[in-house]
Amino acid sequence: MRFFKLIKYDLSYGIFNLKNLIKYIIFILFFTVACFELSGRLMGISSYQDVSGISAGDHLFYIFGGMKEYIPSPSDPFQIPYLWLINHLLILYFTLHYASDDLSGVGQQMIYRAGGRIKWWVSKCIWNFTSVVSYYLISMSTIIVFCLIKGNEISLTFSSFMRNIMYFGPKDLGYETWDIALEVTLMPFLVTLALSILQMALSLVFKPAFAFIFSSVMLISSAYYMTPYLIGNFSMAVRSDKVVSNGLNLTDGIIAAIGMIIIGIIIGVLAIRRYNILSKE
Amino acid sequence: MSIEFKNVSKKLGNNIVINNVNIEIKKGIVTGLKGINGSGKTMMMRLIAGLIYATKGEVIIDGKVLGKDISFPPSIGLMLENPAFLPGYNGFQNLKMLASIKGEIKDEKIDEVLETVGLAAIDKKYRKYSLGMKQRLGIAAAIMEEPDIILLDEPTNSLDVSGVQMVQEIVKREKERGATVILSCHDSALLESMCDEIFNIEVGEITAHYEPEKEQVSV
Repeated sequence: MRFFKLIKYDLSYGIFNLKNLIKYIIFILFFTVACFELSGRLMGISSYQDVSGISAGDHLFYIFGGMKEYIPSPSDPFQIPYLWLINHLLILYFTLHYASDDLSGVGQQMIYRAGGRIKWWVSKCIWNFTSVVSYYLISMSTIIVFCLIKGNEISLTFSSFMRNIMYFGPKDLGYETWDIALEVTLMPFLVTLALSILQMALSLVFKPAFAFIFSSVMLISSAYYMTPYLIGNFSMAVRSDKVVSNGLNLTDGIIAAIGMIIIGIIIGVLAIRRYNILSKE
Repeated sequence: MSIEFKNVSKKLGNNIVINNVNIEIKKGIVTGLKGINGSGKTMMMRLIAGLIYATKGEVIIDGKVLGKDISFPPSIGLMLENPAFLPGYNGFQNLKMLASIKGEIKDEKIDEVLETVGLAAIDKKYRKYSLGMKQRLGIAAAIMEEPDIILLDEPTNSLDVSGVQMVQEIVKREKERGATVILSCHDSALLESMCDEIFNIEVGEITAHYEPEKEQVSV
């Protein structure tokens, strides 16, 4: 019973609270700007390519698609997939301090009332999951509203002209369209969640700033190196095996993300058991 | 509830904040911790509360080792350093939110405790509270669920004369109820007036133990 009360507190104070409104507004603004950016780029190619039939799926692909495999070359400088990166980093930053701040603040009064450190940690994991779900729901909703206003299709179909926007690289399978609905919805969510849980656990072991640097390095390295050992790769639909011949498999991505979530939860359990709960200096 | 420290040391980083402490605090008495800032009083309280665990030795609450048998004492209320509350909530809302975790007390009890600490008529958000009001709310949170162990770290800080009297009355009432009360205070005379026994702490070590109404006992 106490455990559910703790969860209720975390959800009501940590998510459904007016103080979070500014974070949600920033997130909505980011996705609105990203949607406008796609519109601008489509206008740019509309003189030589038919871009009618743009869908919500195309917007998701544009923002969560990431970048083609990077092969270092003087003629092809590394360009960070900024929309993909900003989406992940915004959520990771917005969820960064909650757990550690709680433990040095009002959480000190909650944790002993709840009667167990592990209960506190599990409640924070549930909060983290719900937070990441909320941010993705906001992003999807923003895209849908944008598409409704612009008269775009509300579907998860992907238009062939996206190839000219995204640049799949030389290993492009050459399909006209792609069955990548899960790659542009589930995988970005799972990867953010995995990094967010691991980051929250690391913020108990080290400092939150270190945990955020770890997440950032993991994501930027994922963009630079195409390898299944860097989890960010699985959240880039352009690197899916349904798009490029040497692409990554969806099932492997789901397993990797769930594995990382489990590792994060275990690190958190081990950390909180001996954590020194002190006030802010 | 009885509290026992057996060879307890606590290291934070490279600092030994508690060094080989062996004490026993009996059930139902008021115990004072005396020492200058940084002597280790708050760390002793955090050890009792289960907010930190001993690096060496054991803190035992009613025969159960903290960090091994139990995570926290089963019935405890505490006010440590600067108590934290939700800034957008008023006093009642903050206490109600905390009380909802255990679900042991009703709104009437929260009103009663707010009355006891002199905050009943205050309908401000916590962020607008003065230091004294914050201190009073911290004391209210510590005592509202009538816990068996009450830890009050410098409860008279930022309080005026009436506030100090309020603390004295609360400590007396909680002792009569049967609670084990542990408190620290900069004012030695005030501490001695409230406590049955006092431990003097210097650099994390107990240097003296005495009962204010009797002769001093060296440790």
